[in-house]
Amino acid sequence: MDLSFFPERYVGILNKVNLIELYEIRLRIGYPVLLKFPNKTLYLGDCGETLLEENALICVQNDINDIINNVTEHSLYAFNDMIKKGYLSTNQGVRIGLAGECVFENGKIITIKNFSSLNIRIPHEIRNCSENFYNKIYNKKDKHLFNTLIISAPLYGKTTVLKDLARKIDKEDYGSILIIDERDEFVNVKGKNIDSIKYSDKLYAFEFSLRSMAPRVVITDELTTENDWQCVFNASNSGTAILASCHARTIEDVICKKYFKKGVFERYVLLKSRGNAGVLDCVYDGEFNII
Amino acid sequence: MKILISISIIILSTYIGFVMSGKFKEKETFFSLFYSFHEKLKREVVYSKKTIKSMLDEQEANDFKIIMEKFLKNEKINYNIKYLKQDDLEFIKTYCENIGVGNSKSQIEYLSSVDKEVVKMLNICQDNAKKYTKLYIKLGFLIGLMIMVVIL
Repeated sequence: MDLSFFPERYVGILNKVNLIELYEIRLRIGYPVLLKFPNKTLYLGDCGETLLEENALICVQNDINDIINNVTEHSLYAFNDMIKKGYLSTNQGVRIGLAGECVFENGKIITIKNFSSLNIRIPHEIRNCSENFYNKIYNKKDKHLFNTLIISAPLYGKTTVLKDLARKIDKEDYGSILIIDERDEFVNVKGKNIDSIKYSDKLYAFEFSLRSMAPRVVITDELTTENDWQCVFNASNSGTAILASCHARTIEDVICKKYFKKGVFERYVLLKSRGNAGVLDCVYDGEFNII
Repeated sequence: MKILISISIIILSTYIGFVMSGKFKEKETFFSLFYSFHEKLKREVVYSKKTIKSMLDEQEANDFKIIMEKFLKNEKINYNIKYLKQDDLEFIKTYCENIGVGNSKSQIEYLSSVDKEVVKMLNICQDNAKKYTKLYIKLGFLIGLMIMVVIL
C-alpha cells in the first residue's frame, strides 16, 4: 500500500504498522492519531501502534495540509469536485474523508477550506471473498447473472466484494462490464472486458454510458439517493445486469429504505457487520427468502 | 606571428563577450518556460485540470522545474542562480504560493491578475537578451581590436 502521501515523519512509522488489518487512520488537529482495526482502536506512536495515549503522535495542522497538498499534487482546483463532496482519492485508491469549513456561494457549496480532520480509509484486496456465494448470483449453466445488491454496514467490505465480483465476471467472459466508479475506488480493477467511468454521478453514467458502452453488466457502489435507485431500476428494465451495494445492517433495513424498489434485485447478499470485512452472512432471493 | 596572435585575441575576447552575455539568454529561457507554464496552467485549470505536479513532470530537468518544485513544497533554494535577482525569486515564490490553492474560478482570477506581469517580465528578458548579447559581443570584439592595435 502506497502511503507516501503522508508527511515524512509518518511514513517511517506507518511502515511498522500492520497494514494488512488496518482499515482506517483518523487525524484530528490537536488530538492523537487513531488507527482502526476490525476489533480494536490503537494510537499511532513513534514506534508504530501503541495502546498508550501518552505515547501517541499528535496531529498538527501542517500534517493535514501536507497530506492534502501531496494527494492533490498542489492543485486543489483539479480535485475540487471531490472536495465539495467531502473526500479525496489518491491514485492508489485510498479514500480520504474530509472535514473542515464549507464555503458557500449562492447557496451552493463551492469548496471546503481549513481542513481539520481526515479519515483515511485503507482499501483491501480480499481475493475470492465472493467465492462463498458466487454460484448463487451467477448461474454458470445458463450464463445468467442475477441483479444483485451487496448489503452491509459501512466499512464491512461492500466495495471489496464488488471488486472481487468484477474480476470473476471478467474471467467468465460474460460480456462487457461497466464500472461506475464515482470515487475512484476501483482503481486496481482492470480486465479485458472491463470499462470504467470515473468521478461521474450515477445519473450521467447510467444515461450516457449505457448507450455508448453497451455493457452487459453494470457495477456501481452505494445506492443512496432517489436518482441512484431510479437509475438502477431503469437499467434493469433494459436488460443489463446490475451489481450494486448499499449501506444497511439487515435486509429489513433495505426494504424500509425510502426509494427501495422491489423486483429490481433478484439476489441480496448480506455481509457480516462485525469482525473482518467481506465475510458473508447470508444470501436472499428476490422474495427475501434465504437461499 | 603578431597578426596570428592578434586574431586569436580578437576571437577570444569576442567569445568572452558572448559567454558573459549568457546570463541574459538563460534568464530569457527561464522566463519563456515560466510564461509557457503560466499559459498552460490557465488552460488546464478550466479544461482537463491536470495537476501542477504532472505539468512540471513533463518538463525536462532545468532550473525552472527545480525552482518551481522547491517553492511549491515551501522549501528553500539552496544553490545560487546567477541570472535571477532576489526580486525575480520573490515574484516566482509569491506566484507558487498562490497557484493550486483554490478552485478553478479563484485560480483563473489570480492567474489573470498576474498575466500582465508575467508578459512584462518575459518582454524585459527578451529585450535584454537581444540588447546585451549584441553589446557584449561588440565590446569583446572592440577590446580584442584595441589589444591588437597595442600589439601591432
